[in-house]
Amino acid sequence: MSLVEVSEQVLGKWFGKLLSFTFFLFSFITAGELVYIVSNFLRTEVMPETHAYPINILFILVIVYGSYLGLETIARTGELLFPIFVLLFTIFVILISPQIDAKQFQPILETQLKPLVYSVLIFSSTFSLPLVVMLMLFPVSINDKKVAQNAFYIGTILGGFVLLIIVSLSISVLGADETSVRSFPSYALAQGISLGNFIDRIEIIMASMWFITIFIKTLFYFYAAVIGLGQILKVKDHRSLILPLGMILVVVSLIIHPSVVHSNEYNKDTWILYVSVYGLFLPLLLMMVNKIRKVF
Amino acid sequence: MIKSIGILLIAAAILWIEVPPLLEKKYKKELLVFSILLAIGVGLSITLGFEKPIPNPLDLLTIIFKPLDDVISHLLK
Repeated sequence: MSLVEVSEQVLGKWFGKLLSFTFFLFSFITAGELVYIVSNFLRTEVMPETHAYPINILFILVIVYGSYLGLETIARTGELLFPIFVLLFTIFVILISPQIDAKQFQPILETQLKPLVYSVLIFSSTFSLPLVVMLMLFPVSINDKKVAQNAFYIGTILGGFVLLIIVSLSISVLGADETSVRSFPSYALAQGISLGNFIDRIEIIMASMWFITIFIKTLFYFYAAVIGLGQILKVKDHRSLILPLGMILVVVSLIIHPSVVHSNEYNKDTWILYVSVYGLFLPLLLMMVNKIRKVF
Repeated sequence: MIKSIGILLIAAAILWIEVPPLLEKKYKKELLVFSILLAIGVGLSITLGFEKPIPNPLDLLTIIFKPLDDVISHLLK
């Protein structure tokens, strides 16, 4: 059973449906936010004179097409794009490694406990908590449960590891201050790649690594929203919901952040709480209510 | 005006793609849900096309989570 069906069975029909509907809103709004992040990146770093409309619409068209083709196509796309990502990432790390300056890490262990806890919260809100949307398709559409469970854990840890490498590379090359000021530190990192006046200006190739990952992420958010709404309303074919939802997603992605400041504020303060409601407390609540129900 | 006509054309294309299979299988509920969602989409798009302000869902979330966020900021910053 998917997360929506589980919450309906455990928490009762109406309360479960209400909670599932807010979960649908969560994944839908976050899909819109990710589209905003893509178009914001393209408009600040790559194509500064282009308006947001064409970028958002094109990106959403691909996502709508992907979810129209269904889960198997999405999974195979991931399978196909993963080696490309790994290759690009390895090249990236190798090419940037001559510029690593260990002095940038100093002073070490000067941080107080409070900011450390806060940064850990931010870190986990990016790489592990959003994986709750995978629970929309995870136990349902899997043949081999044991293998899939291991793959889930390994994937989470690998994702965190990749993020850790990127963060430490940014700090060791750019320095902590400049990393915290930049909107796209890894892009600045890729701009710095220069090997003997021969390999130069390859930042957009490196950015394609980021496009691959954010495309898969947005696709999963949107697909989870679509099948979530389908299961809440118990429709027989969720495909008919995709095109209208894609149309709404265009509008949502255009209005969601009026400015970069708004986006930064939201991601720093509200997003941690918002994602932990669904990534942490909703599964815990379902587990506890299920245990209590079994006792009585 | 041109924007609204374009949006209505897109909506017509979506109707043309989606409605015949639904009618063929006699899915009434699906048709209802589909029409409501499409109406919301067209309404929002035209509002955006006329550059009227649309309430931002994130602002509501920020208001909801503000007290909790204040507590966390007080504890951790």
